[in-house]
Amino acid sequence: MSPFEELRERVDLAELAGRYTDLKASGRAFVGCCPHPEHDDEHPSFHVYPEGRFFCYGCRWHGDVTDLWSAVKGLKPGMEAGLDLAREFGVDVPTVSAEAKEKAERRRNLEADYLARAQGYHAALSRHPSVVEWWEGRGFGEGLREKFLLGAGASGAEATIPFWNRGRVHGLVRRKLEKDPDRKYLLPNKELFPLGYRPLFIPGRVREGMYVVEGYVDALALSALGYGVAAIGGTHPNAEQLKELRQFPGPLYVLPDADEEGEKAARRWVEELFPKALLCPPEYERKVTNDE
Amino acid sequence: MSKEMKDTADLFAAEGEGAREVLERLKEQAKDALGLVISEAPAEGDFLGRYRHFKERELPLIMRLEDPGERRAVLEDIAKTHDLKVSDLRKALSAAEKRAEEAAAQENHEGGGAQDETLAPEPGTERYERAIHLLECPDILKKAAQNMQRLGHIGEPKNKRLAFVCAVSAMAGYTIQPSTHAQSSAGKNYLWDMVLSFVPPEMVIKRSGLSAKALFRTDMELKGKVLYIQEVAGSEDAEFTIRVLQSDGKLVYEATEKDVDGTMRNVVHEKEGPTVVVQTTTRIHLHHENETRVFPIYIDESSAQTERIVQSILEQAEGGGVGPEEREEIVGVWHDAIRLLEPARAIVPYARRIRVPSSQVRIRRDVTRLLDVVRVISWLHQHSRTRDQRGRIIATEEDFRTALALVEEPLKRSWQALSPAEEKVMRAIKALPEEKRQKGFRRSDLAVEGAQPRTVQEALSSLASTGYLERDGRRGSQGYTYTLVRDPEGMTLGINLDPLPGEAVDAEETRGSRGIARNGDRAIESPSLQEDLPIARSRGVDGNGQPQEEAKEPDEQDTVRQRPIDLAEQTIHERGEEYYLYGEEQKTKPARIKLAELGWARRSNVTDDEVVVPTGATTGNNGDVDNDPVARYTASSEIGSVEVMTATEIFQGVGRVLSKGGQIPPDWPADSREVHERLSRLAPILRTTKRQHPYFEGYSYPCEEPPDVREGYTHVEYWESEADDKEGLWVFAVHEPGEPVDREEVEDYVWANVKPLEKVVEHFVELPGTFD
Repeated sequence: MSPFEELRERVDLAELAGRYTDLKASGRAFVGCCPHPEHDDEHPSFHVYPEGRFFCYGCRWHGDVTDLWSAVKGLKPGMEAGLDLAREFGVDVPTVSAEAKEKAERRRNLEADYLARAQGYHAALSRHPSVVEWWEGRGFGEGLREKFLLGAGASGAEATIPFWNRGRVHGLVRRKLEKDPDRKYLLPNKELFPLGYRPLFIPGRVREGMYVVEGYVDALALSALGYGVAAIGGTHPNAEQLKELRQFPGPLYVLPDADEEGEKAARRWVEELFPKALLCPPEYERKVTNDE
Repeated sequence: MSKEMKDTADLFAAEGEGAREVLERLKEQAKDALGLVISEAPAEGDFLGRYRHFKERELPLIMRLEDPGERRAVLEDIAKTHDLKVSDLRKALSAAEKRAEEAAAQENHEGGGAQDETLAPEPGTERYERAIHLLECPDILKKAAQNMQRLGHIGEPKNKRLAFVCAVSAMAGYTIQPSTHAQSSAGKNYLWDMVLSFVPPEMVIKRSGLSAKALFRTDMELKGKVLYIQEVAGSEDAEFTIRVLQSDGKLVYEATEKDVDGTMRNVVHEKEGPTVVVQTTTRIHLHHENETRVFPIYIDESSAQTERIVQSILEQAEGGGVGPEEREEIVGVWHDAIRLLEPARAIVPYARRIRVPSSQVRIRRDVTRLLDVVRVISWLHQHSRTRDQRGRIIATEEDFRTALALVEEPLKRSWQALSPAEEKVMRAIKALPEEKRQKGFRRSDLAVEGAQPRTVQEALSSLASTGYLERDGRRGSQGYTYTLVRDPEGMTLGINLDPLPGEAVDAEETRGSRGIARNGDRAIESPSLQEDLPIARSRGVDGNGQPQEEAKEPDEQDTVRQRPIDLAEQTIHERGEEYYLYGEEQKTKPARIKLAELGWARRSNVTDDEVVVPTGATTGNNGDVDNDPVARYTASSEIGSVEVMTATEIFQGVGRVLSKGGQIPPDWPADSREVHERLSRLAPILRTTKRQHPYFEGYSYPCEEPPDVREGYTHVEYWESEADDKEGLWVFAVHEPGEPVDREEVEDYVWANVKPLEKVVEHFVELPGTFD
């Protein structure tokens, strides 16, 4: 029996789904609003069937307990979600290789470590008014700083940004404050990212029609406004980032930096991601109307 | 006047919620890549220009639309926009679709149907881990040579490495063409069979021979592949085609052919490279023009090598060596590793320091080829090399040394234009009496050990064609009469890397130990070559290792301010740091070095581990540590944190003390000098006294849980400047018992604080993309 079959056998799908949405019996199935984080389901379209499978008639999402766990917890589908679910329900999955377990655990530990550090740096803001001032100047008031766990590090010489990806902290971005801010971002080496590579920076939810930007603060700004957004973190997306971008629902709207390098890079991205990506003009000045 | 808005961060900072309006407008104006390309078409009236624009820019994008109906619809739109005939566009699309189908079919064919074998392994799998482990190996070429030896290919370590570099060079985008020379049965094909068994099978096309037009008409995908022609003899007709493929990286051939309806029409056959063509031959030289495009690999024909091969064969016959399963396993890892290598440009940041003798005409092409070898080596090591801000791999000086060691012999032979057989013949000529050499000798006069008469004949003929010998032009019954007109230059390769300023002595010693000759070295004189050998400015050095003033460019004065430290060029190859520059992971010099250069150092009597803990301040009896407010001040730092402050900042109670109700403790030092004195006394005690510190272990988001508390030590350092005009820095790094203090991290923090004090501008030199 595969680990996934074991989990289907041992974990009650209706009970699990019931943690995230109100289910009501409807014939042989249970029905409720879709618990997928990216589906704002207002009318119950999520059906849980006794065979251990679910299907959402609104967003066509379907799967079993592991798929559900993966989506609601923001975990990588497959073994990683399976292992996490097994741990949650105390299911022993002996067929999982020690190596896979170790990797999943390493990832969890790293994420936990980064989150803890992000919280530490966020708490350290109280000691560094100059960094608070800098965040304020960028439009990030106390609420947003707390929401994104924005912080201060290195004796107030840096602002810190948790490297968000679908609700998890994959690293810490340090933004030096003294001069030449465009070149003052420090990131962990790619081996120190939980996934072994630098993923997209996604500070909020994945939504249909995501914006794609170059910088981390750009992404934070758009997320603060409630938009779905992903940042490349530079001008050169890596293969994994491109793959992730291609998997987003709907079109992508690329917002280039308004300089030569940024515009060239954005142009490359839309060609690489054709026909999915659309390039927005880099015209960020607000048109002033007569009323203003 | 409002500040110029560069990005959405600026927009949000300036407009807040008002940014939505701008973002919605931009979304409405967004265009896809095809729309952008269409809008860039040449102006009305230029039909040819617009048709070409369509074929070159728009058609490749259209081909990426999955729905054929959508493709057709786009053609209608483009025809209208560009005022072109839709029928012409349809023809071009049909041809492109046909080519794509053929390429796909060929890909399946060459892949041998083993689809899963042609794919790079997925992250998380064992295959992936093993391949990545191999790619992280510090010397991949050495590993390859070792594995080849394990599989039975004995000796010839350099040839194996160079052949491997050539084999992967097309994938790397820097094609290095080899030609392999030796007598029959000397092991030419054995070498290549072994080397190419390490390359994924879908990337190798093996042929025994080729006809003249075969490559133009083939259905094979040549791009990024290795075309292995096992014997040049029999493929002479294809020599021109091979030459074009090697030099131009693609083939274009127009022919008149009969169409299905019987009409004649011109058809253009195009094959895209780059392709590495592996040729083996018993001939001493290839066609002269081909030769200048290839690196010759001369197989070791010595008796010692023969002995080694015989021994290896005997050992294998006795049941030694590697079994088929293990062989599969070894080459399988190499296949996966190569599949995982990503296309990326490589740059050689120290190229301007490469010194090359300028006495040979071929030098330009050879230097370019040498740099290509450096780039391929760094590309192979992409998992352990740094990248610059544009994602390009930065070659290390070690890559250069490895490359030079590999190409030294082939280049020397190329420059001398002597093959081993020619060398033998030349030695025999020199052994002749002076009179014979000057007045004329015949083939029968020469005593060439171990060489067939035909080989000697070929060598004489070749020496005559390259100007070493003169022959009388009349072939008598005993053959031509030859005279020696010039001695082969007893030159050494003479390529080396100049040391960086300040490293002259060490570098000189290093060079000497590596045995790289320097006689007759001169800087490259060709202006065009100087353009090819670029690099960040102001690092040029003269022959004595002194900076060249003229290498600086005028605008540099504006970019280098105050106390500049050029991090990129001088130290880009240094490794071992955890943090990299923004996104592109550009490596910097270790903070320790930068601090030392500015005269900053740890004060040892405070920070040395050997410092004796003062009497009365033992572990467990916290004494002063609990009572002294300066010591208590450091106790609120969380586990894992590093704080860097001056005594003055501490005295002023930066943030923490004053924020606790704004009250200064009664026994707080009278001035910063006293803070400094107390810390000097307390430092050893803090380092050996366990105290309670906050520890953040919250897993929830956003952070709601109160911090945990754990025991920890406070590692204290004091850094001061030799200039004596700046206040020193106190460092407090809190760590758990058993967890060592990360000295490098501490140095990074110190550096972050020293920079503003020293007014240092770290300008990360943008390495020019001259090699692109």
